[in-house]
Amino acid sequence: MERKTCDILIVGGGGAAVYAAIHAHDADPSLDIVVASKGLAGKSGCTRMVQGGYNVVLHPDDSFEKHYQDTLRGGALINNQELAWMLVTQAPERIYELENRYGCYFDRHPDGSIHQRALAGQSFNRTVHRGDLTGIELMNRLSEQLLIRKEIRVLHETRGVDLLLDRAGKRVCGAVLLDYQRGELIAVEAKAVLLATGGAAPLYKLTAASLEKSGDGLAMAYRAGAEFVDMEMMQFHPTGLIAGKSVMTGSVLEEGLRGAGGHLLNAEGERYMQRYDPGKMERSTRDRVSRSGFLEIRAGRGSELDGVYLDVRHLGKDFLMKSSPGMYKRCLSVGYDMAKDLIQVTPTAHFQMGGVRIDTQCRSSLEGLYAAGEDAGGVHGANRLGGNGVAESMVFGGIAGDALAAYAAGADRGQYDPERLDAIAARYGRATTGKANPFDLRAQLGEVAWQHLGIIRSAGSLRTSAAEIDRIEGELAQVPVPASLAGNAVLHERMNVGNLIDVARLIHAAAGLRKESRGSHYREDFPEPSDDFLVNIVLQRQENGSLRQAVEPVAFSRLHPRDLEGDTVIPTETAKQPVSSSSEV
Amino acid sequence: MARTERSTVTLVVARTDGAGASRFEVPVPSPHSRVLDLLLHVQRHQDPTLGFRFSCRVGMCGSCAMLVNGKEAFVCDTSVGSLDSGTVELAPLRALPVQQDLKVDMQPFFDAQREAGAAFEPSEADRRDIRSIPPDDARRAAIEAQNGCITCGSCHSASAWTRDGRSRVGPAALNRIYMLSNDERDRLGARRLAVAAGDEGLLHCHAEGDCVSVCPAGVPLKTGLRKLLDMVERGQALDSGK
Repeated sequence: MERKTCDILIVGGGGAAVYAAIHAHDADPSLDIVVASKGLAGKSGCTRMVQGGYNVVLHPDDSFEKHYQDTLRGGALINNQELAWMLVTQAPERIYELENRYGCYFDRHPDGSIHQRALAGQSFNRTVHRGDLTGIELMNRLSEQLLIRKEIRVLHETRGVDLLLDRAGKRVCGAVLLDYQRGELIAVEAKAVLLATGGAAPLYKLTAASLEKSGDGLAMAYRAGAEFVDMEMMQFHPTGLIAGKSVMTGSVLEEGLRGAGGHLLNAEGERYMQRYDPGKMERSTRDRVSRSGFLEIRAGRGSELDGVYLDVRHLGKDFLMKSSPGMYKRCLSVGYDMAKDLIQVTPTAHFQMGGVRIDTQCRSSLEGLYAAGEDAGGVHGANRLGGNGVAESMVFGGIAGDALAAYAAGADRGQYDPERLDAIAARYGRATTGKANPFDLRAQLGEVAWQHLGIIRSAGSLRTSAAEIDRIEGELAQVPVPASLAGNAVLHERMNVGNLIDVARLIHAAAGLRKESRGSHYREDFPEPSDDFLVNIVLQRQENGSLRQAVEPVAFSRLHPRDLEGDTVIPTETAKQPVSSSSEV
Repeated sequence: MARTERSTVTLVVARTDGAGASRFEVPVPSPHSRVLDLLLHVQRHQDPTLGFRFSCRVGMCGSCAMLVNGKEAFVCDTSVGSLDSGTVELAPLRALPVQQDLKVDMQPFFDAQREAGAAFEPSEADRRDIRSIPPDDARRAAIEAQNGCITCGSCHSASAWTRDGRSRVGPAALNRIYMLSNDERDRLGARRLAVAAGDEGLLHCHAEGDCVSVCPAGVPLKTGLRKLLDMVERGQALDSGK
């Protein structure tokens, strides 16, 4: 096994990871920073796929209080109030950095001021964007900045395998990585580790996320014994594209299309939202629209390809081409002309709100372990607003980078437990035989999660999923470990499925404890929200493998729910056209 | 575009294991199926050792650029029907070292971006407001027209001058230098033109347009490089300002 040492190890290659690396380096350029990315750093992960934009209070008529209240309302009141406040109040600092320090090009109004639009659940037009391809702009510019900071060591296509802990199991001392191409395990000793690998939406058979993700950071933190919060909260986006048996299926068609007046139809041509939310219809919240679509499909009123129909024909080609050029092109490439055809869409697993429990410095419950982006939980509560996700990645990526640099300046490297390292190495050190196909098991797990751990849950579905997860885990042991680990997709898929199973168990446990429906979590057997469940669900793996479960009242440290009013819809303001946008992509 | 329904196609894939190309018969469920779908089918059901790279699968990350029937393309964004061919030949990008089968090492390409100075350097790093920049401002409009590159390496592979190693500074880097040369927020601005005018720069470009004809992001690279040449010829490379 190869050995490395560094001050800060960052596991991940998307927005939060890259932002953290840049910030940590700039805070102290003498720090030895390693970035290990499962794909190409800056090219993998979901930040790049962001369409909507970045929520930030900039306009004098907007306020932190408004953004904050929108975020808590969207989160159905169980957000970590301190984290949500950090998100809102640090968002402007980051947008100034993105504009002035890293050189992003954001859309402008004709008078030269920055253009902001509104996404669902916002009381003000506060989403900074670049056309409908904001994520590409952010990641292109951040990747440039990573590249010119030559001192940062970037390991492309090198995944996290497991964390290194001290003998007491309380302090993280580094991680074991796997270099995909060389097949080499690398033990990296570090003063501190940041997990920013992204969430586990790809657990589900239909997902919008980039497909290399498999909840690696979450699973690593789980196995190391870090605390988790609200793992039952997984957001499903209502309009994932259906492109037959293609990897394109599940990718998101932005909700601006519904905000602008798009209709959702079932196979009978009915605007079925009138039966679920007659007031807001298609502009209702993501969770409600997703659930309604799922129920229509389940009731046999779905489309030919097990979806529903999105109808935007009446919006006209000119409008569609101008407001959603990226989406127009994407649909055309799979055979739908948005201006002429009904588009088959399905709910799709989109974003994991739950994650590693962190404080406002991105510290986990284990010393030396930090989490940011989708690996961290609590910012968004039970549901994330459009535009708050990429803001979270940038804000908390930056906070993590600063905090890691400060910590690394004053800390030594811990002494890792060699037995733990040996155990990790032993898992992959010897070739085994077996006939199981990890890709088949992945497909089975995706189906189980979709049917039983997904948009609609119940005591019965949770029982079924537990048994199925056990069975799949048993079969996973029959996937052979190859003699050569180099460039081996079977081994990686085995590791992916193993990680997804760990995350699925956390989702399962939390969903069982939350006997109500709130935000993205819906229990058919407890279909209403309950004030008894203004709680956070905390899970932590114990050394003996059992799961500590705690139900803690939400700390209303800044705002009590009685002081919140109003409801959330997609504003029609979304229909406003961007002033200048990328027309080429 | 002709779209012929086919139930299977033959993939002919360049391999690095020394045995030459592999052939795979792969089902095509729909003419909209992506070439990436076919590769995944091979990996999952026929040969898990096949090496290729992808991530976002919707044309946004640029990880899966390779040669499809001899031309640079994203396999996630190329439908089988659009190729209208019963045989699909796949090979890795040119001009970059091959790692495994269809995967190349992108690092030399990234290094070339860095060495060419194709990255923003702030003039006012700590500024805490957003500059007013009207979209019809001539320089901003020039930038907007050229933005959208996702550094996939396709142009680097297609252009004769980078492909045959005459220069490491290819169309992607020069296009970015053009953008930055027009960027009022950039500390170096037009001083970056020195790279464009230098030994590894524009002089190798013969405006053949190979870069723009393959760009999966549709960036008008040829236009950008011509405008960059105009700036160089007007002597703006010699100005210390912008």
